[in-house]
Parts: sequence; structure tokens; C-alpha cells
Amino acid sequence: MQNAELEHILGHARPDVPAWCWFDHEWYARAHPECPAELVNQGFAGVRRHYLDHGRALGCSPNPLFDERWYRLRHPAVAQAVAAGELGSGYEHYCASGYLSGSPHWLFDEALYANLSPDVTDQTLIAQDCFNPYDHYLRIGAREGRVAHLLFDPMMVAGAGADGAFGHFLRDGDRLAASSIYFDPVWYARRYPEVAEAVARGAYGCALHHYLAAPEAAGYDPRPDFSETFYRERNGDVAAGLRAGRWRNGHAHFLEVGVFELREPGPDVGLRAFAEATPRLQTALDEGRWRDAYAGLLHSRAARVAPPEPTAPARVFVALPPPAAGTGRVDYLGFTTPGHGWLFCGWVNPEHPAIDDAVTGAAYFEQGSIHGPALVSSFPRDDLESPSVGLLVYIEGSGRPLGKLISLSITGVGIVWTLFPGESVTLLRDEKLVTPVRQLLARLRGNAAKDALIAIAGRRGYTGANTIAELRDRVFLEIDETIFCPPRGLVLIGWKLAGPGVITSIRLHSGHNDMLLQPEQFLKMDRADVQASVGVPNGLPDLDCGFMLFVPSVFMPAESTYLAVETGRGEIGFRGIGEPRQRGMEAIRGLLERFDLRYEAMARGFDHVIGPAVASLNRERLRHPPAHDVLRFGAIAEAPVVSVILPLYGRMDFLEYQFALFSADRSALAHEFIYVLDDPARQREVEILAAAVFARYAIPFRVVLLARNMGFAPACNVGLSMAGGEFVCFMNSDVFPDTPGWMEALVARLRAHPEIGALGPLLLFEDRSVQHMGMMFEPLAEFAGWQFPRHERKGWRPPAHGGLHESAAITGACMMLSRRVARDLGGFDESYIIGDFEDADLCQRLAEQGLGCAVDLDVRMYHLERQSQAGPEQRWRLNLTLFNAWVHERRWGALLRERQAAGDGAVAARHVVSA
Amino acid sequence: MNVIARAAHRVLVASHSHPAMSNGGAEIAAWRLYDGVAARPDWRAWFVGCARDDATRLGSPITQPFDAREFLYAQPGFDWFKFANPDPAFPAALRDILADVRPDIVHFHHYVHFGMEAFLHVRRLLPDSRIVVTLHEFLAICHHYGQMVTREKKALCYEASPRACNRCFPAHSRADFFLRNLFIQRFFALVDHFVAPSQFLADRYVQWGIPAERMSVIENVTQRSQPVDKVTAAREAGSLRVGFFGQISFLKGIHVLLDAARILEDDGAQGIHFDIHGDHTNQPPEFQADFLDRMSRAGKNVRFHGAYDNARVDTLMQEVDVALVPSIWWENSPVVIQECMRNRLPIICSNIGGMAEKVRPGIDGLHFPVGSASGLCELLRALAADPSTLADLSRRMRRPETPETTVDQHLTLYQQLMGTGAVRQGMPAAPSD
Repeated sequence: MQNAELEHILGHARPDVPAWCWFDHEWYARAHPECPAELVNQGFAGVRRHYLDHGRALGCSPNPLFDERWYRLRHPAVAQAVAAGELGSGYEHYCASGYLSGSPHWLFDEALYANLSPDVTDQTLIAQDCFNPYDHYLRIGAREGRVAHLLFDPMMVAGAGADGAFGHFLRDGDRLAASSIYFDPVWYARRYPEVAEAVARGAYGCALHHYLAAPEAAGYDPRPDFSETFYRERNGDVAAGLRAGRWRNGHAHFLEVGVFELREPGPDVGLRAFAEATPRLQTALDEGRWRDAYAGLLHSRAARVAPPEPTAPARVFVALPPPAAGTGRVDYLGFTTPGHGWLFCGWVNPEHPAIDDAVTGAAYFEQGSIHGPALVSSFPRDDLESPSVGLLVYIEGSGRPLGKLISLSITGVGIVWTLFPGESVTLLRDEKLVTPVRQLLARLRGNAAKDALIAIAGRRGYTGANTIAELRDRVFLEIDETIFCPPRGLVLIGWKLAGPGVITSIRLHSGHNDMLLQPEQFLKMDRADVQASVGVPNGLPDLDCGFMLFVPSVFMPAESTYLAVETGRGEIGFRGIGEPRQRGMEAIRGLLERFDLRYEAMARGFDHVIGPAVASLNRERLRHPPAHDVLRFGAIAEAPVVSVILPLYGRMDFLEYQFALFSADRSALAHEFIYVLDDPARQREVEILAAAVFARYAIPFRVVLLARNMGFAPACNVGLSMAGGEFVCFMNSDVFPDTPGWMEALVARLRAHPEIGALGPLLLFEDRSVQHMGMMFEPLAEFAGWQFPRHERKGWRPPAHGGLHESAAITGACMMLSRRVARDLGGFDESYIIGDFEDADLCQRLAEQGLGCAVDLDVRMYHLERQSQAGPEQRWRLNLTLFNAWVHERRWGALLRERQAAGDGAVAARHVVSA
Repeated sequence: MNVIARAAHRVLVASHSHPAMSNGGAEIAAWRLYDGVAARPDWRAWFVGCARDDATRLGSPITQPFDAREFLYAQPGFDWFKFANPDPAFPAALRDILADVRPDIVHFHHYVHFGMEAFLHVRRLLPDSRIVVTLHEFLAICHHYGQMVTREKKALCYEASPRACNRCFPAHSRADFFLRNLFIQRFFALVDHFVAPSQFLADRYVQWGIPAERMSVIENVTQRSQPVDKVTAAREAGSLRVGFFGQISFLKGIHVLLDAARILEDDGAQGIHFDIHGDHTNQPPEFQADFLDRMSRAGKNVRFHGAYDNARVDTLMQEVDVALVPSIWWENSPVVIQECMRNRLPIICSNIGGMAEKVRPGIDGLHFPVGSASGLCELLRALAADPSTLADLSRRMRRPETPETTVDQHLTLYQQLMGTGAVRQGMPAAPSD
């Protein structure tokens, strides 16, 4: 630059030059550490000389309104030119040409000023003799309180002199003066100790300068309420924008975008809660008292003003400034069920017109968000100015309701778009959504995503008709039975046939829910009937085309439920699913009758399908325990030593035999009998029989009448809840005492051996061979290696010796234990259905407490065990046993295997001869 | 003569029916015992029988329609498998009778309808009284009407077991039969003494489990009547009249008789005739149809006279030369045998059980192999050919015991029970000539 020009731009402040165009020698001398101390005393010329000779090269600024260093950072080409010697300084560049297009200062945001002061047009500048908007701001705008930077609010700065607040702040202002609600310089300096040092050194003019100019400060927090790390972690779309250079840091994003979406600035700030609890917030914002909810929150906290009583949740969606590049609007949006994703239609003002590479989308709603790869295509819109284009976006996701849309971000290479809901944005669904979309499909600009969008928009939804037969590829799918497993599970039993690779996915839809079905969820079963009637004639001869499957948490009862089968061609066929009919025990039995599996297939079947389904059905059927009446005969013993609890099912006449035998051996110990009738159909029969039995034998007893059949474990637990004895003895109705004085004998043993948790008698068949004298566990290969009880010496002659015989577990057919122990364990576990393994489970839990089990060989009873299960009509009963085995295996399998590997447990039980 | 007046002994006889309502052997025997004991000066006797439910007065299970010493229990329903009485009113009703009668001896001529628990009620209320049970068949052992004959093939059964019984009655499991046995044994344990009318029956029960020292053999009390000497009419060689008296049923072996008659007819043995007296109408319809069919095709040597009044049996027995008891089951102590002895009518019977015991071969009559029509034919031909055999038998046969004798035996038993509580070895029936 020529000297004359330099003279011009480095003169004193005068009205005929821009307000930023002068040399402030006083400020220069004290603000720059590069200046020697005595420079202050020199006059204008001397200081200016220093600037020209040294300062320029060192990157010093001629006045506080122009920041040389910042300007060079912003314009690397300028910096290079200065370094190469082609330019004296960035200031010269700015004065020559730069002033027309960019900001020369870190505290002046030309874009923001233009947005917020749209009246500052070229005409206005000319009329008011301003060289550029910065000049306007400095001369007029700042005095008028106009905002040119989010972190500088002229109204907050005190002591504005002739320079105006801005000049004053930069030139003479307190280093730690607050200029904006969004930045707390005092806190900032304390939080980052090097700031104070840098400012003192002169590297930065003030804390705010450091925050806005220092490279590392991009990651610093401006005030305690905002956390860069938190904000960036929480908001994945911010990172993309930062990488693209769209914003300097999270705080910048937050102030420009995030705050309007009520994104949380930091942990425990509660911005959204504040906004919802402050109904007058919207008014305040409309009136311009606060710029945004964050400002409102900070102001009200500073003023210690409690937010007014909420009358209704507030919705705060500020009318945003007109869209800048990279922003746009969403006109309508919604979920398309056959496309299982969301469609958004709107427009964007793009930085680049082409959308060819892969993009990701993130849609933020009031109650959640959807993100993932997005299909995006553009189309022309006559109503918009170029370069704005219409936009159709698809993101796959779940269709559950998420509330109103807050924003939609699209990011990709060179693309960072944010679309906000328009004023009259509408939320549509399925056909209502897809109908307008279909109309613009033809106009979509061709790109990779266009075909996929057309396919998705073209899918028809489910109307209640089964459309699988209409698919171009041959697919056969039938559902024979559905079973509802509360709360939201569903079992489907049916069959399907299709060529290899034809079916690409099967989804289950129910109400708003849907779930993609995984292959391992399908338990395959042979269907010779289907193979013969459908498979072979159609060239699909698979025998194992049947399936049973369990879907845990999708089903919405009373809503439309159907399967959507997608083929490789992209077509979808539907198969409706009718209302499930079976419930409770009937449903359990229905499930268990249908399969006959062994080995690993059995384990898989139980793990994926049968186990969880039956467990859920059982939980539901036991959920509301029925009320029960109690029949009382005779006076209940006041402080019984033994409570005998006997579940009754099926054969009621056993009760008569039991009492005949009880009458022959009346124990001297105070005792009580509690029968629990688990068979409501026989209630009348039992009432008559019990009355007759009491008339004959005059032995007091109670009969609990359950209103529904529950099973062995729940029935026993009901009895346990009513028992008052020091000991309880669970006894089956088909157990008949033989040894006189059995009750005293068992009680004496338990008292003498506190290490025994459960004690039972030796049980014999009617031919006096052993029915039970303890059991141990062994894995059975046929049943996937699950642990099953092995009954010691069952069917053999009883051993000649007597005494206590320890065992890993004993049967619940006759088991005496301390009532306190039984209560502490919670009785029998009701996850076991009807009656199997719950006794083994109880014994395992006793072992966990360090208590053992034993059989007293000196006390004998008969146990007339039911016949073994055989034949197909008993298949469900065997499978029910397998279910109980599965439950038991999941809990105890690993522990038992460990013990067996260590040599314990499976080995024959130790025997203790009684003293 | 005793100076010290002794309180009379009190006996309650319990029967599962009442002669006024049915005339089965057991209830008649029970009645005769009661009658006989009541006639003795130092003894008082009462009788309790069972009736169908419709004989009751509403709310009162015990009634006395006949006499102050006779009670009737109205039985509403009975468990025939284990002989349990489900009537909740019965225990109190029985206790009322016991409290009223205060018997020293309660003699059950049956436990059906009362239920086995009755022993427990007696024992509880009257711990010092003695319980006696007369066994009339094998009901406690065998569920097939107590006859120890298999249900399907009607083969003889020698021993009960859960396995064997389950084969006869598949609807009841082995466990069920085991429990039945357990139940019965539990109550039998309360009985002080058992009486069996035949040694055969006694032996079976002892084998089954009743301790031998608690078993005695005493005949049923028979009808008090004048023995009638049979007029032995001159008989030509080759002629023989065979009489059958009693229930016409399969187990009574009527088919053996008819088969034998057919064989003789076909062989042309013209002198042997069969006279059948009895009631067939209590039998199952298939049997009745079959019987009538056979009768219609029977030869001239068989005549069916239909049912007869028991009072006329003596007259009817005068008209035949020999009585035939071809039962294919064990029989205990058939009344017809006593009646034949009274009329000095020799008896031909099957060679098993109580029949064979009562009819001493060569003395009271002759045996033939059970169920064998050909064996029977052989025997009948021999008798027809030589009239002297039957004449000898008629002279040699024993007389039946008088009712008084039998009653005496009972009273001796009662006194032993009341005295020491123990009883000497059971007395066999004393033959009286």
C-alpha cells in the first residue's frame, strides 16, 4: 500500500472514514505486549512508527475494532500474502477490499447482524453514510442496542461513552466484564487458569476474547450451565456440523439451533423442564424480552425468580430467523407401515445441489428420535427461490408415536442440513401420508435413492385382506393357532413354504408395534400333511415347513395384527392374524401337545419359544390368586407342633383311606390337618365326603377350597400360609402311613439334626418295594444334557438297615421341615407347573442355605404313585415335565454340573446310621 | 341255683338285612341266632337290621317298626369296594342304639350296609364290649361278590393279591386293591373274634390274615323243625330221581346239571330224571334267556318246577332220591345241605370248598369232580344201577345240629370272650348222630 493510502487509513478517527478505520495510538501502546513500555509516552507518530515498522509484521492491530490476528486466521490467503511480503497487513487488505465481505473482528458476526437487522440494506448504508454494516453497527447499531454477536449484548455493557458500548468494551472495558448472558467471564477465568495469565500477558484482550479467539477455547465451556463435552456427546449431529466447519463449537450450534429445539446444554440444567413449567415464556419470547428459553432460564435464575405456577405444559417453538443456507422446512411427515419407516417432505436451501452420496438422517421428536441411513431425493418447487429445492426424505425406524417433530438433520459429505417444521406442518400416516408422496415421485431428481424411495412409497399397506397369494413369487403361509402370552407376547403356530431365498424378511405388525422376526425364533416342525397337500404339488417338498414361534413384546391385543412377508423383489404380502382364543392352562396344554423334540432341537425350542411362552402364560394364570373358602371340622389345635398340608386333586376317596389310617395312630403331638382342594369341579363331592369323614373319625381338619386349579406349588403354599405348626409336613393325598408314631419320629429327628432342612420317610409301593428313598441328579443326553432326578433304589427291596439316609434331594410327596425355614424360602416356587421339580428346586435352595435333606429309613409310608406317562395322549404331560426341567436347568444346571464334575452329588448319598 | 342274682348278658345281633324284607341265608341265620339267644333265661338279645333308604322316617335313620328289641337302620348308599359307610348320620345313630342297649356282645352277621367303621364306633363307645363277626362268604378277600371265582372265566381262585384282583377288575388298580386291603385290615383288627360256618371258610380267612386264635367254626343256626324220616320207596334198578333245590344261577352249576342230562339222554339212559326247583328270575337277563332256551331244548329227563316256598322244601325232598349241589364255586355252608340232612336225603356235590366239607363222601353223600358233567353222569349211572348205595347213605347221614346246640356254642363263645377276653382254639362243628 502506498504511503498516502496508509496515511489515510491510519489516521485519527474522523467522520469521513469508517469507524473502524483509524489508528488508536493510546490503545495500541498499552494493549500490545510487543510494545516496549516507554512507547506509551511517545506521541501519535512515534507509536504509529512502531506499528508500521514492527507491529504490522507481528500481527498487531491498529485499533481495538479491528483484530489483525483474527482476520488473518479467518483469511488464510491474506495471512500468506502478508507472510510473503506482498501485503503489509490484514488491515490493509480489509481497508482495500475486505471490508465489503467479511467481519474483521471476533465480536462482530456479520451474518447475525444481517439477520437481526434486515433493515440495514445497501440503501440504508448509503443513506446513513456508512461504508459497510460493521461501520453501521459501530456508528449506529451498537448505540441502538442492536445485536451483532450472540455474546455481546450492548444493553449489558455499562459506561458507554462516545464509542458506544462496543467500542468501550473493547477499548477500555473491564477485562472481566460480562457482555452477554451466555458467557460468564469471571467463571471462565477461574475455570481455566491460563486465561487470566494470557490476558495479563496481553495475548488476549479479555476473557471473552480468549474464548472466542483461542483455538483451544473452542472446547471450553463459556459458563457453568453449558458443557461442550456433554452437548457434543448428546447431539451426534453437532459433531458432523463441526467437522464440516459449519459451527465453531457446540456452543455456537446450541445458540443458533439447539436452544430452539430445547436441547439440554448441560447435565442437570433442565432447560426443557423450565420451558414446560413456564407458560409465560412464550409471551416473553414473543415480546422480545428474552431471545430464547436458555436466556430466560439464566435470567430468571439470576434474578431468583421462581417460574410461575404451571397451568398447562408449555410448548416452546420459537419462530426462527429466516433460513440460512443449509436449512429448510418440513411440510408434512409421517410413518409408513409397509415401508416401516418415516417419510418427510419439505424443502431445503442447500449449499450444494447434488445429493449423490450416502447420507444419514436424524429426526428429533418431542419424545424420542429416529436416526440412521437416509434415502434423500430432491424435486423442483416452483414456489421457492433457487437454489431451494423440494426434498423427500426416508429414514427407517419404529412407528411408535413420538410426538411433534422438532428438527430433521441430514448430514453427508459436504451436506449439513437442518430442517424445521413449518408453521402448518402436518403429521400423517400410511395411506394419507403416501398419497401426496406418490404424486411427486415422478418429479424426483434421479439419484441413487430415487428408486428405493419409489419402491417404499409404492408399497400398499395392510387393509385386512391376506395378499400373500398375490405375490409374484410363490409363497405359502398359514397360521393355525395364535396364543396370547401376556403382557405383550404372542405364539404363532403354522407353516410356510417358499423357494430358497425368496423370502427376505418377515415382520410382525401389531397396532403401532412391529418386529422383524429372526430365523432362530422359528422352531421348525415336521408337517407331513402340508408337504403332501401343498408342498409336493408346488415343487416345495420341505417336510419341516411347520413352525412355532414366540414373539415377546410386540402384540397389542384388540389391535390389527398381521405378518408382512417381503420378497426379494421388494414386494410385500400380508397375512392377518386372528384374535387368540386360548388362555391359561388350556393354552399351555395346547402348546405342549404340538411337538415332540429331543436333544439340541428340544433345547433350542424351549429356549426360544416354549420356555418363555409357557412361563408367561403361567405367570398370567397365577397372577390373580383366587379367593378360597375354608371348610372347618372340629376345633383347630391351638399351638400345633405339626401342620400336615395335603393338596387334593382327582381321587377324593384317598382322603377317606387316609383318615381311616390316621384314626388308627393318633399322635400325642398337637397337630392339624390342612387339605387344599385344587380341583374345583369336585368341590361338592369333597364337602359331602369331608362331612362324612369327620362324622366317622372325629379328627379335626380343614379343607381349603381353591376356586381354580392352580397346581402343586401354589396349593401347598396356600396351605403353608394357613399353617401354625412349628413343623410343616407336605404330604400327597396318595401317601398312607404305615409305621405307627411317624409324626413323633420325624419331629424327633429334625430336632436332633438341625443341619437337616427337609426330612421324609421311606416311601414304599403297594408291594413294599422302594418307591422313594432320596434322589440325586444326572444329565440325560436325550434331553439335551439337562439334569433329571434319579430315584435311588426305586422298585428294589428296601435296605435291611435303618437310620438316617442323606440325599441330595427328597420328594415333595412327603416332606417335613421347620415352618420358619419353609416360610423364609417362600414355600415352593410357583414357576413350576402342575407338579414336577418344585421339590428338587426347594432342596437346591435349602442347600444354598447350608441345609441338607434326608430320608428316615425307620419311618415307612406307602406312596401309591400314579402310573407312568406313555402314549401320544400323554405327550403334553411329558412336555410339561420338560418345561419344568428347563426351568430347573436354567437355575441349577450349571451348579449341578460343577458339583458332578467335582465328584459330589451324583455319587451315592452318604449314609448315617442312627445312634 | 344261684343266690346272687346275676345281671343278664346282653347281646346285640346286627344283620345287613331283615327277614321281613329279604330271605337270604345270612339274615335268616342272624335272625335265628337272635331268636335263640333271646329265649335263654340269662340272656337278653336285640336285633338291628338294615333296610333300603325308603323305609326311613324323615330325619330318623333308626326306626323300630316291629318290636322294641328290633332296630332298623335305613341305609342311603354304600361303598361296596371297601365296605365303607358314607352316611354321616350313621355313627351317631349307632351310638344311640349302643347307648340304649349297652350290649356286652355285638355280633355282626355282616358288616355290609353298616360299614366297617361300625367296629370303630362300637370300640370307642363301649371299650369293654366284645365284637364278634360271622363270615358268610369271602367278601373281605374277594371283590367278585366274595366268591373267589374269577370274573371272566369263572375259574376257581385260591388266593387274592393286588395283581390277580386287578386282572379281574382292570378298572381298579393294584394300588386300589392294596388300599382296600389296608382299609379292611385296619378295622378287622378291632374285632375280638370271628365265626365261620365251615372249616373251609375259616381256613381261607386264616390264610388271608386273620389270626387263627381269633377264629372259630360254628354252624349257622338252622330252622327249628321236626326231622322227617324219609320214606324210602322201593325203587327199581335203573331209575333215579335227582333233585336240585335252590337259586338257579351259573355259580350254582345249573349248566353242569343240564349238560349231564343231555349226555344221559343221548346215551339212552332212560331211568334218570332231574327235577329242578328254584328261582331263576334274580339272575342277569342273558343268563335267564340262556337257561330258558336250554330248558326248551332239554330232553324229557329234565323238568323245571319253578320257584318254591321254603316251607315246602321237606315235601319236595320226599319226592326225589338224591339231591344235587353242583355248585362250581366253593360254597360255605349251603342251607340246602342242612335241609337234606334233616330229610335224610343223600347229597351229591362238587368236590370243593364248604360243600365237600359238609358232605362226607360215603357217609352223607358223594362227590363228583367240580364242573364235570361226564363225571356226574358216571356217578349217577352207578347210583341208578345199585339202589342200595343211596339207602345206606340215607341211613348213615348225620342229622343237622339242632338250633339249640348251635346257640349253645355261641353262648359259650360269648362267655369266654366276656370272661378272660381270650378264647380257646375254635371248635369244629360237632357231628351229631
